[in-house]
Amino acid sequence: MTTHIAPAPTTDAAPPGVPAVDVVLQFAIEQFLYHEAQLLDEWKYRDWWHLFTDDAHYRVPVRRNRLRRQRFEDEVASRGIEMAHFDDTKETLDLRVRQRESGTHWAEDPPSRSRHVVSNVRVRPSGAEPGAYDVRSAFICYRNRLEAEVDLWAGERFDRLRPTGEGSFRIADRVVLLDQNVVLSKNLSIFF
Amino acid sequence: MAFDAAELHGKVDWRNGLISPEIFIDEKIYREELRQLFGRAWLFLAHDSMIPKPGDFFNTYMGGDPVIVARQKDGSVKAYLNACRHRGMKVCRAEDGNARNFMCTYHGWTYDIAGNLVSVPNAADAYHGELDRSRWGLVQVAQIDSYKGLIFATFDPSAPPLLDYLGDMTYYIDTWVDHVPGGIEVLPGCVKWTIHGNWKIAAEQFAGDGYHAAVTHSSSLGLVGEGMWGGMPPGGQFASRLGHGHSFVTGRVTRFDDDPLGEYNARRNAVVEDRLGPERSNMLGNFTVFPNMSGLPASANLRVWHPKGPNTFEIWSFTVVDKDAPDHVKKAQQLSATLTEGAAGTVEVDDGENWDLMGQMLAQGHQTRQMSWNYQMGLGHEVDDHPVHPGSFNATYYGEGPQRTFYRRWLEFMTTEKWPHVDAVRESGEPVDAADRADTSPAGTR
Repeated sequence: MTTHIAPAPTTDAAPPGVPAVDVVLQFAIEQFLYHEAQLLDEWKYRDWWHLFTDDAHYRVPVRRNRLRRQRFEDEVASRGIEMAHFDDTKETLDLRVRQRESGTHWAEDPPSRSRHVVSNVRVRPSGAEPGAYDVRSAFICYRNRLEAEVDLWAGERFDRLRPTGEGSFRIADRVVLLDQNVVLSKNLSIFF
Repeated sequence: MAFDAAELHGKVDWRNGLISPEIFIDEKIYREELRQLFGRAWLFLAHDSMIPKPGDFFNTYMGGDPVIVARQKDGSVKAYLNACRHRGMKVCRAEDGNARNFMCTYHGWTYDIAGNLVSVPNAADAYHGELDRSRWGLVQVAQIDSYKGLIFATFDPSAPPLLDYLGDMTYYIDTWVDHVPGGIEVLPGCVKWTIHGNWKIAAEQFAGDGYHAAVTHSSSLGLVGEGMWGGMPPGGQFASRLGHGHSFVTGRVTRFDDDPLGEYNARRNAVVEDRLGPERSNMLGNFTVFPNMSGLPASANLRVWHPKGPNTFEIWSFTVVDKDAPDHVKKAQQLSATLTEGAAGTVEVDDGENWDLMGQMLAQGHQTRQMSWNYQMGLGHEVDDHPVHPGSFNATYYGEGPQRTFYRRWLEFMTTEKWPHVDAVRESGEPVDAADRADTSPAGTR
């Protein structure tokens, strides 16, 4: 039973106009994120799952409405023993993918149509893990389900990407900050 | 004046298990529900562990109304409407925290943690010193009390004491709040999400609908190797005359074969059996405390169905752990609960599909509202004198007795002006029609 806690999403970007990494690396990482988005939107969840390292963590904390003057930092829940929307390892992500593969996962069967749009990609060498990169990106995810159901989620992702040595990357850690306090949809049967 | 009682009686035929879905979608019924039901019933607010220190507060709702529940300097708990007495603006918009006072951000009226009005801008000049602040504190709930750390309140001064309201349900509540010496605590992080459907559908499911699990949760049950259940698991159902319900399977202590808490649970079960006896220590169930507090102890889950209109509700989902458990056990329980329950829970996501789509159909359709929904499963197979379990008891896991009782109680609240007593029913053995009682009750007793 692992009790690894995901790092705090405090990755600072380089100052405006000053790229932290060269443009080829920036390009490669953006292409990796677009590829990942495509896998999700095409329901290729098993391929998506393979993008994570074996020690990966995937976390979507609950956003909280807090008084600014008082523990404003708690707006994003701590990484302690605290409830989250997702708090997954690669093993539990596998359970979620298997659920989608079961043919009886009614929340996604018939499958939703989704469109993950990824932008505002900022990259810098990871301070915590030499050779890896800390990547912040913004996303908008549109879901259209069954006849006329529409959900829209926006948020920010804090990724730790590890180069594979073959020009690609694996996701070693992801924290997703949804820009909703009360989730406005009937479920989160979707990945960000 | 009571709502159109005859019309409602026509829609809720609990004796024969026939219910009109109009009660899930009609705006007039919903508004009356806020007054007659949520305005009178004891409603769950919070658990002691969520507001441990003086000044700690938690913002919740009683029906449609925002309510602050706050720990006082002397350790007691108060609850009051989160609405300024000047223009009704919310005086606190944070969902929880610690405060000495709440200032309305409209004109600056300020209240202390007990809800007293302590400061009014320009009290001396604009009000000429004539405003009696003592008369303009936040609107307090009529009664507040707690059962083993679970804090409830009611807006009705004539409501019976909390213990009487819970009745036999405490026998079952003890299985999830008092099963170990230290009791429970609620973990930080309330998961909240939105269903476009009626809150009663969810409340009735948790009161007793084990029947849905095999199909609705086929994909999540399949993850742990069980797949669709072939037959009916061994278990039972309790239906309280007061509207509460509890439904359980027996013979298993957790839902998961690979439960990381196995070792802890094995040790704990010996303690539980000692405290609760062999029958109650062997229950794996779900429950509803009438009207809108539910839970799933097997998944360490406690939740409230907050109505947001006839066809929208929010689920507020809490996770409970044994207070004295070691941190690694609490962490494992948190991870397990996160994986299964909540907006993204592998089990929960498939419930949302049903509740939301049913709501859409009722909102749009006419013919779909004319159907009579069938609540007849197990009708007549309950016993009221089970040797072990109190209440109306059905010795099978599948049955709709708890739902029939839930709607019977709902109907009583909706069609009586006086507090819906049930003592007379018990004494005579014959159900007394709620409308008859309303006719003989003094009007305007609340």
